[in-house]
Amino acid sequence: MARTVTGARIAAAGALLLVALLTLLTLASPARAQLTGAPANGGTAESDAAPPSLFARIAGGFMTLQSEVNRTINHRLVAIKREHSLTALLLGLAIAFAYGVFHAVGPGHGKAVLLSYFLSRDAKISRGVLMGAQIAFFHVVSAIVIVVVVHLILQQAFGGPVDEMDFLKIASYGAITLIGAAMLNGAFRRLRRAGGGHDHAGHRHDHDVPGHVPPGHIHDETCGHVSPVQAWREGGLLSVAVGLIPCSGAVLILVYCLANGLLLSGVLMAGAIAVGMAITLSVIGIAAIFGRQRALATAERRGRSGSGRPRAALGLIGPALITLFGAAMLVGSL
Amino acid sequence: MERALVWAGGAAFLLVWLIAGIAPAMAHPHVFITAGATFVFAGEKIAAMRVEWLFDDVFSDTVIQDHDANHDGHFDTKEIADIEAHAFTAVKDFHYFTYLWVAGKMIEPIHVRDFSARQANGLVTYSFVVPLPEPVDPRAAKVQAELYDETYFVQVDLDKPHPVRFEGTAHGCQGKITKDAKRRYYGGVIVPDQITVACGG
Repeated sequence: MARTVTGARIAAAGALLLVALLTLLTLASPARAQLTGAPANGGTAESDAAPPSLFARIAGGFMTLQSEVNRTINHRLVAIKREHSLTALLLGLAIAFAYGVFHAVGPGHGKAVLLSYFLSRDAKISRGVLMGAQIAFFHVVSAIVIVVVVHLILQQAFGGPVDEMDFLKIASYGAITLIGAAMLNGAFRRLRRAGGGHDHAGHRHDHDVPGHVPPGHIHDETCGHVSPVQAWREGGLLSVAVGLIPCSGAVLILVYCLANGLLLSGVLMAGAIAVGMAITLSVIGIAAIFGRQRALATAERRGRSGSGRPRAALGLIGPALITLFGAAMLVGSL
Repeated sequence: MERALVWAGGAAFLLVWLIAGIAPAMAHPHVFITAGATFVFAGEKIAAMRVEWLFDDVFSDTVIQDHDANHDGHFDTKEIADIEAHAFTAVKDFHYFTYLWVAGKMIEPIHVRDFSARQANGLVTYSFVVPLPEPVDPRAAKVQAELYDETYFVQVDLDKPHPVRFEGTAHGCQGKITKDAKRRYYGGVIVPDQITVACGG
């Protein structure tokens, strides 16, 4: 029975982590709950339907905040065009940075992939920061590339590039699915290689065994080892796959700037968005890394010492989630 | 091992369910409209609803740049026709961001006429008329409207403090604004405002 309890604990820890994170990030915003709170325009709120779920309320508050930021961006963009001043540009960069921070909290942007990835792998904090930054970087670079390319080739006006994103979405979700499947396959292979019966006879996997973790190696959840090179490649590929979808905010800013001969301002603002997003995504990566450490520590304290099962479970859950996420989004975007 | 798989499956299901719930929420509002609705009376009955959309800075600036051909700060008839063809007709696919009900029955499809556009202080306003299939006495049948973009690419806010106006003789009628929780959209996150024409007495 101890094993079931352990599994439940891991699952609960993971879910709590996710909810706590979203709550924290959204409740910290000043403009929350406006959508679900007091009725606008002096009307009266109808309460014939069920009250919104906590999730809907949090998401609603977040959407209000984000739409305010987006509205301010639009305002600042026109100011940059009209004023042509350094102040206007700096204000634009500041709001673009804020946009990046909040934008990455919203749905998409590889948070699910990031969480799943670091739930399944032992990793240093720096890897969480790096991968968050990588995703943000590719997300914005993708936007810059697509806007400039579409602009150069088609000389398209407002609205055009947004339609071009569909095939990128399909490519991104397809790639995420494939990478997830490959990771899952690898996890299974290492699991099998780790021994029939999985009894660890004469081969312990808890961290108490001195020298068990060879230098330069990452101790893997599935009793095998993922080499640092492989981990780098996996993380890099995932970041590219996730970042393939261009940042919609950056696309619109760039389209407007390009149409008004403000390419440099547009690229700078896109860069500011990337920095903001990198911060949010890094926080999520770090949270996942800590969450995993906590879950495993709890599981090992409660369960049989060194059974390796919680590790094996997380090692499979992570890639499975990434695969399922990619597949679900792929089906949804076809 | 099977147990681990069961947990993996369970957690995966939970996450996919969570994500599927917010999946439509991938776009973000990038165009902003401040909207007003004017109910046009013909005698005792409402014949049509005129919708006005005041756009945000960027969309306005883009429309002005693309369609104010002679840069005179004013849209003439030809320029308005140009705007209608290139920057309005396409929203038909999004129900013109306009939903109308008579006695609880949604009017489908929405037809629009009398499109017009104007600019002031760098901001553009669209205006168009949605006729009711036949004139309706608001005392006999409830007339309701909601203005929003289901995809949330455009955020439509009702004008404050007077989102609802009347044209003609609308004795004692008022626009009542409530939240229509049944028609939450964008993954259930956003609750649209519902306008109800309430006629006292």
